[in-house]
Amino acid sequence: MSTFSAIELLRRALASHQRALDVVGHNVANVNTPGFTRQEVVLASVPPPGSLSRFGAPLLSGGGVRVASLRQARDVFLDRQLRQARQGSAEWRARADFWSQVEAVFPEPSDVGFGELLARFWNAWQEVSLNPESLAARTSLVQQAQVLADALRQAAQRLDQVRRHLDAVATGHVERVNQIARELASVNVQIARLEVSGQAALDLRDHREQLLAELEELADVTYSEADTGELLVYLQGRELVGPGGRSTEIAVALGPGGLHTFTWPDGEGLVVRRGALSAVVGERDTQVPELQGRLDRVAQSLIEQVNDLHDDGYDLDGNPGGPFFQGTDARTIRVAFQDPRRVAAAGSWGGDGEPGNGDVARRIAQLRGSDAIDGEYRTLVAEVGVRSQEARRQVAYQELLADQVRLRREATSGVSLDEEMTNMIRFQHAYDAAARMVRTVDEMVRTLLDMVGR
Amino acid sequence: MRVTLGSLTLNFLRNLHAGLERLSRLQEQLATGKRVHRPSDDPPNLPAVLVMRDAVNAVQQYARNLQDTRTLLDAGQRALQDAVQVVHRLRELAVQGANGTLQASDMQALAREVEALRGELVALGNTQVAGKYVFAGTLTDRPPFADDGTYRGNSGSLVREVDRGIVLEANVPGDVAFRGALDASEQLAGALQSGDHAAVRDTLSALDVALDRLLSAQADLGARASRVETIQARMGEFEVQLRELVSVREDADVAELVMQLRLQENVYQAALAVGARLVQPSLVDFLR
Repeated sequence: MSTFSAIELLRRALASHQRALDVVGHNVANVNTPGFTRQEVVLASVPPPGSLSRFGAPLLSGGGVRVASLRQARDVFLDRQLRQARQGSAEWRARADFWSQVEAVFPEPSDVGFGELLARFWNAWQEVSLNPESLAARTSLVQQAQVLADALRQAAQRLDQVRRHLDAVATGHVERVNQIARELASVNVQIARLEVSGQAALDLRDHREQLLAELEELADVTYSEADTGELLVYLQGRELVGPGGRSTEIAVALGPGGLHTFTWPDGEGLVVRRGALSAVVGERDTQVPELQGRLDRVAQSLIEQVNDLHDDGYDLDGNPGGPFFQGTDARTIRVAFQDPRRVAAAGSWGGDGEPGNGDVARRIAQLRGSDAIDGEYRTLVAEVGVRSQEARRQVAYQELLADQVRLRREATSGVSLDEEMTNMIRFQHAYDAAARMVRTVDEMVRTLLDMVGR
Repeated sequence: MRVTLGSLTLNFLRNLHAGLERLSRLQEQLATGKRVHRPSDDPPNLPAVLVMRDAVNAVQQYARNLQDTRTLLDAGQRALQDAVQVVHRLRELAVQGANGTLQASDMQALAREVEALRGELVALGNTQVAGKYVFAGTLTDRPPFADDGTYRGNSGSLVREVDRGIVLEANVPGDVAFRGALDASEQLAGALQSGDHAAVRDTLSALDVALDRLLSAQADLGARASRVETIQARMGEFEVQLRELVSVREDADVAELVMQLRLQENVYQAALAVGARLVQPSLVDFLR
């Protein structure tokens, strides 16, 4: 081994440790970067030159150190678990968010909820049955009925608003899916280009992992990695991200009823089974219409049952009652008249009239507590409560699950500053020692040169 | 397990958030005094709470109905009692008038008093409560008896629901109660004016029948009034019980909440203190 080969060996040692220190710096710099995976250099010793020759010339010492590779402290299984946990928690968060909006539509139990208004409505009929000749009692009834009808219409409108809100969220989600698909396709191209030239595309893979996790939060995508290092992503069995920077765009169009439709290029509708998008679309297309249907049933029963009885009555001027409520459902219900004299409280109107007859008012008041009106509403509210509570509980559970996986992932892939500092000292000492050796070799060479020069 | 800065902060933040959430729930409950604010706060209890809230409303209304019914019944009873007194007086006058020794002028004087009493009967028949004529059947907005005693009301009943499914009539039609008395008094006045002792004596039996009618109507109203009273007492007790039940299901247990709040506050402060110490030192601090 020549003196100068020693210098070459030390140069490699300096370079390798410099590289190792660079990686430490990279890790420290990314200590708070979401999704960052700790990197480490793999150092390997260099075999002595020519050691391959079978008939070994003089015994050769080793060739020093080199950076064999750069690797990530990644556990693919944990990454997948984390993505799944994040999907579950995103899906349930969307549900919990929805149900808490629905709960705001049905503020029960309270003094402003529909239940209380309904009770006051029945009481107002009782008051009219006590004093059918009193215009004050009748006016109060008409007002109370208007408040009740307003509350039903308002609840129906609020549910419409919730539905429009869900539509906007779903549209945003689908657009995000498209955007992620495009980004994934372009990251794929970069990774393939780097890796084909033998370089490690570690940070790009981190970025891709992040994109994939976000995509999985939205929808139940499946994926596989091609030999080129490209990630192929499928949704609903269709290719969302293909090889060679190809991605499929899901079309967003305004459909009937002001709601958006999501379709594949060939016109087939988008169907998502898991993730936040599936929750939002399901609520928009199934839950809200169902809630509206049940609210409508309450309104219909109220309209029909009150009108049935009212129609048989007579108002304060002896005219037959006619309908009390107009409309057919929660969106359209209104009190049919303003004039309190038209409340048909009397069950009959013989001879000179019967202003004191409150039979019909009493019979209407006795509708209180019927299964179709009060009962149906209570069942509706109770179910909203159960669903909302369930969603909240699931969110708590899923977040806990996700956090645990996050902790485990952090334990494997996270950056520990103490560890990095230790490594820094380690590499720095090695660097110092190598530098010191360079000086020693330098002195050795100088010693020789001095001898020649004398 | 490798512990990193990231895992420490993750844990710390999660615990901090959980503590804050519990604190805010407790504060909401304490500030409002209610345990249940939205359907999801206690779903299994919610249907019962809603039913009971409505029941409280209904009971309050029934209490009003009962009070109103009782007012009408009492007014009717008082009027009938007065009418009974009037008929007693009429009977005394009839007995006097039947006395053959009475002069024509005395008979005229008796007749005038009978007329006055008859007017009183009409006035009693036109008794009002809060603008409502109680003996007019369902024609409650005009006096049922004209000055000449003709009945202009009808035979309708004022029916009230006084408890779930229980209805009571709050009136007796005036025609039934007063007709006999009015007719007998008219008959008596006529007989006195014409000075016909025998005819005056004949009215005695009519007056007895009239008295019977009044008394039986009064007894009828009295029986209903006592029924109302019974229901009222029960309703009062029921309302207290209902409110208690609603309170148990809906109201917060303040003492327990305060204890929990204290506990949570301590936990939260401890979490903050730990967080402040935890994240500070690292190897960096010792590399000087």
